[in-house]
Amino acid sequence: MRLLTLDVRVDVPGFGVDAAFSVGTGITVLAGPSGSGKSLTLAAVAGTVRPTRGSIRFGDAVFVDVDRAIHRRSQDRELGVVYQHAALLDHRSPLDNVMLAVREGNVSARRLLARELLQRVGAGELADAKTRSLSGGERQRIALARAVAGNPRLLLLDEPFSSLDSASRTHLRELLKSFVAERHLTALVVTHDQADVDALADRVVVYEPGRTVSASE
Amino acid sequence: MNDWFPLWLSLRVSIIATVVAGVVGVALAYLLAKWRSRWASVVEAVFTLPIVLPPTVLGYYLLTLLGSRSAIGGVWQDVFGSPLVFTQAGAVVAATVSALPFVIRAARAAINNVDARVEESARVMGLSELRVAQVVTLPLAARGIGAGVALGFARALGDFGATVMVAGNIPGQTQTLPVAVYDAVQAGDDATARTGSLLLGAVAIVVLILVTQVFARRR
Repeated sequence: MRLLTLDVRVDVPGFGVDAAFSVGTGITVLAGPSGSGKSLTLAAVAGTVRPTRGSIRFGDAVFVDVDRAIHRRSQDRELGVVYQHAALLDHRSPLDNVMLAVREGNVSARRLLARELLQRVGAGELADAKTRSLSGGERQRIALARAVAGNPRLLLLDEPFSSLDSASRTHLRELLKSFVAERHLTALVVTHDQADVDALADRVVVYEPGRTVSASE
Repeated sequence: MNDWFPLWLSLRVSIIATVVAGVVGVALAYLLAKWRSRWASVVEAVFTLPIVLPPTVLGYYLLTLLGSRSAIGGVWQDVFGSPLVFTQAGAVVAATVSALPFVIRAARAAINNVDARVEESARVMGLSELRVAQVVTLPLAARGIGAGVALGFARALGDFGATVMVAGNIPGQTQTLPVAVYDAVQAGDDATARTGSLLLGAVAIVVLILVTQVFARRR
């Protein structure tokens, strides 16, 4: 089993977080008050901010090792991400959005896989819709399809369901759980919603402002 | 006006200059926007200079830099067998340098305005920097870039001072429409001056309206 192991400090102007935990496959929820550094931790794993000290490893892959000046590029970390406000490309169709994330195969193979994933998340009929005009729930379903399209081993989700109605939320939770189970993924989910914790968490990493305090199954 | 040469030359020079300034300007703007260094603003200031310099002074710098006795001018002459200054190529250089800052400033602002999270998520999903630029950044910045290119074209079409310094005022060879208008006024040829001015005004307005509409429709 690949372990995701963090022992880092991440600083941004006016704030810093110390995060230390080690998690395996399944869904790990990062829980704690706003501003405790959960999203910043996720950004460090994604490679969009550089930690100031420590290391992040996923299995044999070293994402970050500050002492050895290793900072693997985001592109090379083989991740899928879903943000609170799906960062979809509004100028491309939902199908294009998913296709762009598929890393292997020729155009028709990538298109086929993207269509299958859109079907899978219940957005098959939206493949050629105007991305800009989609509802929040539709966007997040497409974002989830896109996140798994590159066949990543690690999924990062930052408040993925918080702007959705409860029916969409339930649907997306089930989708996420089924992807994680089928593909043996490691998923980190940042959430403020206790219902997300109850429904999703295989384990919980608890934050207080500026640091992780415990990890529990 | 019975000689259409200045109009065709002006259009040709400004179209070539706009293409060159568009490609170079967008590439530079992209690098400047992504280059997190104090030197980025110094480099941008240097390329912006043509907006604030008097065009004749800009022309003088170019003439000094590109003249036959300069290093660049010498190399040009060795390669192409004719000097760069006082030719149509010189007019293209003058127009390009005049248009470049408009493209750079508009494109850099537009590229900076692209939501960094959208670029980040494209990177995280595995797209190379070049693909991120191609699929995310430049399409999202297209309207701003288009506005800069349109302004650059208008500037290139209307340039007088730099062109007259670098390319001279040789009727039938390097005399662009703005220079021809000046010549006509000097010679008391009101009809030619009026026609040339109206043509320049009309072409500029048509181009600006077209570009504005194309980019308004995209939204």
